[in-house]
Amino acid sequence: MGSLMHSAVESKRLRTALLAGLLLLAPASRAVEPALIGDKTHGAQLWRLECAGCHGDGHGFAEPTAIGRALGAHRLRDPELLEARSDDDLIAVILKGGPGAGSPAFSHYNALDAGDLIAWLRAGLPSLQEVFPDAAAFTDKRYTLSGPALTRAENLAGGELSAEEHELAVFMVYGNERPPMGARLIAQDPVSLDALSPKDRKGFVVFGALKDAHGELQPLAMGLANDFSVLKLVPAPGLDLSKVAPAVVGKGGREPGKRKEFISKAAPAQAAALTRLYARAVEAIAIASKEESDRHLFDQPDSSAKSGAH
Amino acid sequence: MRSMALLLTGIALASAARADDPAAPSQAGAPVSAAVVPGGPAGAPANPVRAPVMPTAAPASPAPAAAKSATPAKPAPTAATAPVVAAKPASAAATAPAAAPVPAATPAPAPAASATAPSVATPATPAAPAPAATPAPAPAKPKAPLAEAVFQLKQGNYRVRATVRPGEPQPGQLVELQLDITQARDISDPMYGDDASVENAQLVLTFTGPGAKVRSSVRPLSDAGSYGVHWTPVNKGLWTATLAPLAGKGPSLSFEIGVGVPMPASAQGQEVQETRSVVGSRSARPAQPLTPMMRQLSMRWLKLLESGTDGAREGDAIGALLRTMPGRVPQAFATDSAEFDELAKSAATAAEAAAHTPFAGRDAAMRAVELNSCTRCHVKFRDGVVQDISHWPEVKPWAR
Repeated sequence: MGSLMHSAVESKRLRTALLAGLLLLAPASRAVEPALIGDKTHGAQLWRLECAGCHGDGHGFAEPTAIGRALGAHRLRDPELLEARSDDDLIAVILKGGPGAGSPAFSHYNALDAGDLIAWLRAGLPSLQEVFPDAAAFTDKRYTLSGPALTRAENLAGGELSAEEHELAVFMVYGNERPPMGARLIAQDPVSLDALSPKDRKGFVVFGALKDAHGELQPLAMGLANDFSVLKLVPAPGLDLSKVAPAVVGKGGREPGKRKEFISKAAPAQAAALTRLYARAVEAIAIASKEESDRHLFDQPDSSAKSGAH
Repeated sequence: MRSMALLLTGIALASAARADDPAAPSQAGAPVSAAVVPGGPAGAPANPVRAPVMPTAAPASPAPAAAKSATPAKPAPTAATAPVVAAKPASAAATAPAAAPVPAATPAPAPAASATAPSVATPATPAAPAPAATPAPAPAKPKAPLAEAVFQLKQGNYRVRATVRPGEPQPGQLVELQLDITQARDISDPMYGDDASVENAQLVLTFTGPGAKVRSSVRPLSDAGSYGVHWTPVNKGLWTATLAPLAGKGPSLSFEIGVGVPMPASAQGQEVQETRSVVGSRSARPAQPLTPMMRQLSMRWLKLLESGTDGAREGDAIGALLRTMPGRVPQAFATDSAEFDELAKSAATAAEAAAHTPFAGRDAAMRAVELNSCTRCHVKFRDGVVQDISHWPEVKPWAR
């Protein structure tokens, strides 16, 4: 009898050890291998042949040429602009033309050519996916700072903000079930926004620019947690933030008292520029959070459970 | 229904065999037009001389072995063409003297063929006296590069027609894959047939082979059930393309693509000598006459950026192309034809000068031409966004 019990215990231990081993071997989360939108090599060729005349050579943000500026061309390698549009939106703009008179329709392209151009435009830019790899959905809205929010931002930034700096686009990122094609951009309409639960919110992303070693502006993404602290910095490949990152990541907070200037002896200019970006970002996301909580003000705590039951 | 399907398959096979013959007219009557310039089409790989398959092998010997020996440059005769050669020995032999083309009449491969295939009934080789009469075998013409290679694939009740363009992909050059996906219906539809197009599929195509793995999302094209992928292979060799659903249902299958090497014989497909027009995949606007020329021009222009390119030769070809432009102003700008012609002439001179620049400084010289000639012409005569380009680089946007 004793030997029987002993063998049962042994077998249970063995099963537990085996299970633990299997759990250790299993990956923590199922990594989703990204699928390319198009062929960026061909996209680079198309850019040179068709776009560079007005939109520039494609370095950094792809600043428009003098002719492009005269025709109202925008800088196109802007992560803020690209993240706020789906691939299908961008393909439609390329094939059918943009809203401005200076934006022609490239109707001699097909959808694959347009996809290649977008693949090239998106390549090497900091993206929302790099900050939150498991993002399932996100929203995008541009906010204008004014009144007390602007004053607070200028106090933290240590100087007056330019008119351009009064505006900032905030990307609110949500988790939950990730679609196979990547995170979905949710339109700014009440029904779609209502479907996003604040419980699933993972954080915020804003985009800014810093000068690289050659003095050229390079884009970067700043990820902020739900408590408004800096979660992650994702620079463009030409930008090195390794020196300034320790002075920034993990700093900041929801209470204004916790927000202080970033100080880095190794990279003081970068720290000052990031303080300026954070000062704007934290005020803009405060407005975004307020809007979201207002939307869900009358939600019943267990509304999701009820709707699931029905 | 089945007999109709068999009949249609037979017609398709016959037309595919006809398409392999460069002399035969195109099926759709709309081959991709290309302006003729010295040096052949731009971007086209240097194609080895390939003897024609069909007419040569048949008269000498009906054995497949003879067919292979008569076409040394074509290691893998396709399933569509090879059986046709073997199946009709008598009629082929009968027509041989009239056709008389060629290296087939050379007696060299015949003994080998008879040695390797003794069981085949000899078709009494009446073509033997012909060589004495014919003066000299005409040199085999270099075959044009294949426009497409088509694979017919099947998995379960899915059928995938994969079209690879160009038919002989080369490393570093763009390859377009079009996938036409259908699914067999459980019950045949009297109006729409046995197969239904697979729409709204979320698919991914993975390329593995002699280089880094590439995983591309498959983009739906404008036709129902038609999808596409662009891919630039980096290295020469056999690549495996694996199609799989990213979400939901869809075909899971793989096929091999030869890059810089012949397409594998195991791939049951057909090679298409001339491309056919794809219904509805492009713009509804009629093709402008300048478009194919500009396509060729752009391919040559980009080739100048590759080290080892003969800049002088390419520059001359580009200049020749640009000098054919005067008089071809787009119809909407017919009143400004003199300005267009002048721009084309000056662009030809500038482009030639840039192409002749040593490679180290060629990129900068080309960018100057792109800005001052290409963009200047495009913003007015192609895009129609600028009204006046006479004070370039100052422009006056079109008042609309």
